[in-house]
Amino acid sequence: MAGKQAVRVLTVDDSRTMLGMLRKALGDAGYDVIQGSDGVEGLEVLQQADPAPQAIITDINMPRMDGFQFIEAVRALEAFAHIPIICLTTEIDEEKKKRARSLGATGWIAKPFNAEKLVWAIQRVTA
Amino acid sequence: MSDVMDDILKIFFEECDELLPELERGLGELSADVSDPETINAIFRAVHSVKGGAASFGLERLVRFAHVYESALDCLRSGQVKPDQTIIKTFFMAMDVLSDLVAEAKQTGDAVADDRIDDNLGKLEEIIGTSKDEAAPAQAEESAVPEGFVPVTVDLGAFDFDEPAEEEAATAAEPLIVTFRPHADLYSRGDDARNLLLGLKALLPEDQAQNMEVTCHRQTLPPLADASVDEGYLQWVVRLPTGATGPTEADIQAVFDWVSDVCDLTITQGEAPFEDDTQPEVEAAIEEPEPEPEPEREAEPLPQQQAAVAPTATSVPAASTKQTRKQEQHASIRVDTGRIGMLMDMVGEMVIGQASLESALFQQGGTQDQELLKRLAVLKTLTRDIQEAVMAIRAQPVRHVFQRMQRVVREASGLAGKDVRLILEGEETEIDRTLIENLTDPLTHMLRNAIDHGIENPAARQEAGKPAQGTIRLSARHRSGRILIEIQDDGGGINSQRVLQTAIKRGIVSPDAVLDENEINELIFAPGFSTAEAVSDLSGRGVGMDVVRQAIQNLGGRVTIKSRPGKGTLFTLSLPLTLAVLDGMLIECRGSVVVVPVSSVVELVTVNVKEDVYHLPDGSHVVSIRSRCIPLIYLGDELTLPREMNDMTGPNHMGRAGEEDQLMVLVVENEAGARAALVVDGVRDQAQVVIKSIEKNYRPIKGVSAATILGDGSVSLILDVSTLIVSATKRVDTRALEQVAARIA
Repeated sequence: MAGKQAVRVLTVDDSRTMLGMLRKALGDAGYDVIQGSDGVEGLEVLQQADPAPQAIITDINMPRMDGFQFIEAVRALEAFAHIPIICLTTEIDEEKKKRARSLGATGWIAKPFNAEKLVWAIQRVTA
Repeated sequence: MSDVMDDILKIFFEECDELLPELERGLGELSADVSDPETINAIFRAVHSVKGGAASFGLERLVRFAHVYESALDCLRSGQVKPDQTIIKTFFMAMDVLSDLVAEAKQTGDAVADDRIDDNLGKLEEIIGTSKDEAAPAQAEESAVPEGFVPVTVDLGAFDFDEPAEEEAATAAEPLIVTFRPHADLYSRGDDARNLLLGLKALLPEDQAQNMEVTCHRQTLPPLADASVDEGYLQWVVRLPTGATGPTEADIQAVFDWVSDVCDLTITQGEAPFEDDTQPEVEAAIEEPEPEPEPEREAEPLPQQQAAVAPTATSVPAASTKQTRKQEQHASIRVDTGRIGMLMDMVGEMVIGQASLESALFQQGGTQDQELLKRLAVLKTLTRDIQEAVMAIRAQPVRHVFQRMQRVVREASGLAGKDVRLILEGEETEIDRTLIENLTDPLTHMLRNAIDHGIENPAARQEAGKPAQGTIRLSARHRSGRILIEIQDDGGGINSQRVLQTAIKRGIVSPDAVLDENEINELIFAPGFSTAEAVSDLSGRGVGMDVVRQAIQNLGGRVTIKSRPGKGTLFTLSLPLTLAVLDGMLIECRGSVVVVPVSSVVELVTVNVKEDVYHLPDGSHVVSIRSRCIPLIYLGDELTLPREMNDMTGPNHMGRAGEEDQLMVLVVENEAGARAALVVDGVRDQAQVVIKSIEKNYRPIKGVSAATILGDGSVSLILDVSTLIVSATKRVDTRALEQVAARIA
């Protein structure tokens, strides 16, 4: 990432531990990480962020606004209709995948995540 | 582990400390008839989060348990099992195991016994098994515990980003041909053909990357007039060199994993599937991403059409923005408590500074400058507001401590073979964080005590005409600047005779002591007192009520008991709202200024020495105020303050002529309602004082709770009114007092 402005990634998770892990993994890989503690906060942070993030990683099971609702809400925002959104969740059965896809999720990673996979996934959508 | 990982681990444990009470609260709300999906979700999420975090740190025992627990909860969430009493109990016990496993991982608790874990796992698996039997086979498979769930340890510290993952050696030497045609949905999901092409390129070793050939076929692209903006028309053919370090078909599948349903994909080896096709029209070279990250849209969008795409999603944002605003007020930040402590200290200094400013102004003969006085008053109000605001930051509801007590009661009643229900009241009452942290141990001990000694066993209760289930009420409320915490049980009350006998046996009181009921009850706080005939596993842990009382006193609090034989016992803890400041009355005594907490002051009266003060045979004095006899304390003597010339505030100086017939006394009261009259020279002021610990800086002094710095910079002592009252009351011969009282009446 040298010589270039770091790619900004929004991470949304209700677990501070997970947010910490994400910040560490992405930060080490040279990404600029911003955070939201649930869907509602995620949306807020997303809309206020300047510069806007280039990708989003979101948990699914969260209070107030879960990951599905969050994806739907992000896709409904004109400015973010095409931002890559990666779901980070332990529950990836086919049904959930299908639902996430139909709402506009770009991809998914299993929790607990592997830092390499995570970075690979982000690179994959922000290249 | 790196420092960052240590920090994250710390965050994880902090988070567990929040999640576990949430879990407990959720479980507490659960019942067979009420199963609010939000509650169940919160319960599930709590366990889920603990598991998720634990897995990241390779805390295998914790993960293994949390995983089964989570699966069992999932059966509840999906409605496959109903939360009956047995199941709720199992969940509660599992919660206890879970929190013990967290403590084990944190190394603050003992290792959890394997058989206890297995036992609880068995019960949880029973729940999962039940639901499996009931559910349709297809569903059952999903909810069952996946075999061999192994947590993956991610050592982020060791992860080196620059080093590419080693690829499996591909056996094939011939190139792989990847053909794919993205559907429109691939784009609407935020993905891009370019991403996929770069993904494929990333599969190649660096020196091979330029050997990847990409061809774009646009034969399916219709004439512009017929083209739809919602469709993807272009087809991409990628020729990937293989070899010892080249990609395999599985690697390529992995690149397309997310888009397998939104593109046509074929992977073949050796030959291009489009050899019959017309010449490729576009040769695309995939370069490193340009600085401009805006992804290029492949299929078409001509500028004017692009505008037409957008409106599909215009009306919605307004609504979601509105929703966002509504939630905004709940926003919070996390602050290190050390910083708040520092802030609190500084506010303390500010209070002193403000007082000293005031004092300096008035020492110069006072000022008549109204404007200055007004501004000074504003400053005073502001100082107080700031101090209260900082206190409010430190304040937390007692809920966290209270809810932990549910477990204490569950365990203790289980061990004692008693059925006890704990009712919590006033959990929202806020109290300083430091106090909260230090309340857990005393409360735990008192509850264990109540279950062990207070609540009778079910048979005895029924015999006494009480419900078999005992009840303990734990409540908190604010009262005149203090927090009152009450622990009330409906047990047998304190057996005064037995307490007295034990106290005599242990040499705590002499056999001929005459004590009233309250004094006897107080004996259970005496060091070395324990009435448990057999040292039980519950309260008989070598920690007596004296330790409880000491702990509460260290917090600036008091414990009092009220007991009614056969009906139950009420323990009242009275605690200050904060350990930082208090409203004090500045009292003059022998040239010194001492501070009496305003909360304990009843009244200031002038008494006539000849008429109202009585000398008792034992040398003590009482004063009659409105026909009530109150022990009189000569504060100067009590605190052994150096005597001044012309001093009259000692018993030997009473009865002198003139106005010395009058004594100014400050009537004070402790939480138990006991009173004493302090003989003082005068009252100087009422002010907010900052509490500075004497114990920390010097050593404990009987009758003095702390010190403070006054506005003029002098150090002043804060009286421990309760101790003074107790010692004064003890000195007074009860029988003599009764005689005096009779005379007055």
